[in-house]
Amino acid sequence: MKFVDEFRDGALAQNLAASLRAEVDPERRYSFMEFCGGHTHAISRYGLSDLLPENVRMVHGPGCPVCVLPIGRIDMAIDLALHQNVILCTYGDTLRVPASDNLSLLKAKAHGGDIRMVYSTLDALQIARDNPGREVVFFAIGFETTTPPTALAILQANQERLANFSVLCCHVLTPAAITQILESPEVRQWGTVPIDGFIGPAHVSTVIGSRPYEFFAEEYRKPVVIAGFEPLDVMQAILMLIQQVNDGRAEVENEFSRAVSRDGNLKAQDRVAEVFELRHEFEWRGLSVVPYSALKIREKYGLFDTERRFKMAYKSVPDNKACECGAILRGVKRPQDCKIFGTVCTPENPVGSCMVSSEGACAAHYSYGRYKDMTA
Amino acid sequence: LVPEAQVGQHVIVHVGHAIGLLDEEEAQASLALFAEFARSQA
Repeated sequence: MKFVDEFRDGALAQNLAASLRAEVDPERRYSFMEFCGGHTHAISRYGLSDLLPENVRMVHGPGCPVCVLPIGRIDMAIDLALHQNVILCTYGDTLRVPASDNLSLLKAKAHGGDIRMVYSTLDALQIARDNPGREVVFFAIGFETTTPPTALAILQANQERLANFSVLCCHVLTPAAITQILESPEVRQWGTVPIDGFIGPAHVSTVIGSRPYEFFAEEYRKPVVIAGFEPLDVMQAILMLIQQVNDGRAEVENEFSRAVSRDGNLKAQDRVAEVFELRHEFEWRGLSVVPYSALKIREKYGLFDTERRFKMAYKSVPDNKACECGAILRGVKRPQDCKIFGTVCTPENPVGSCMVSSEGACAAHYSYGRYKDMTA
Repeated sequence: LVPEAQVGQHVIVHVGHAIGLLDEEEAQASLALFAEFARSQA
């Protein structure tokens, strides 16, 4: 028992699909947003949309860490690597996100930048220990899942007095992004993006718990079901959402009870609160500037803040004009609605951020769903 | 980040760090629920 394969059983998925078909009201349409890129990937990879009744539609959300990173932030990292002679460490997917001047971190590496892919913040710390004469910057991205490991790295660096280590902090917050979507004109005024409920993220919720979503159920009357990343988890969550809609309920339910509690991981939250505080605002790709939606390093640990150390200021840069990532991240458009999808923009040569990571809506559709457009 | 974890238990690992403990009883309960669907439709 590894608690993975059991949640991928095809026959059980068919049973769940039958329960779904029995539960839906044929007279109405259901539209649910899976916030998290992990769910986007699972839905595409396991063909779950094919198992859903025709009147149940899944809208991809912005919960893909590299997708929401704006060009200006990557430009900052490239500048550090090419002009400040630092060793720049970051997670693999971040290397391929397109930035200004037709560059990405990977291309900047080809231009001579010392850019290194790491699997964990621990690797970045080790690189700093091994290179005491060089500045080592960890380009930290991601939602509440990757934030605690970054906090631990800063606390460790502080303990060791590792003065050549700093963090370019681009950590963002899930609840702020959900609020931004619910407040967007497409959802609120025009109704062009109908959202009847949300599938809440799996690993993010392991850290933050289910409590933060209660606000969306109470204030916006939107049901939220937190789900694991396996296909049966997602199917079960969609069934629970349909039942809530049919009953006229708007509650937070937890399908991923094997790993998520109401309070979440308090130790992780404590470490994050020790090191980080809220930014007044942060620009997201697609969602534009969102108030209180990201974290910065507290003054107390300012020594390890790359932005302070190198006196950097963020400069907003517009996306490629042909790229629809912004609209796709808000759920307004689907990958196949973009003119350059699969032609100019592919996973091998991404123009927009959604084509980079396997969690990105475009990359997921390119890898697993493209054949459906061809036969259509 | 999960100090209570013991050898033999399952944890959820994200970028090299354990961020949560897997509750086997709850996992079995979910699987039992799926099996229930299977029986109800048999």
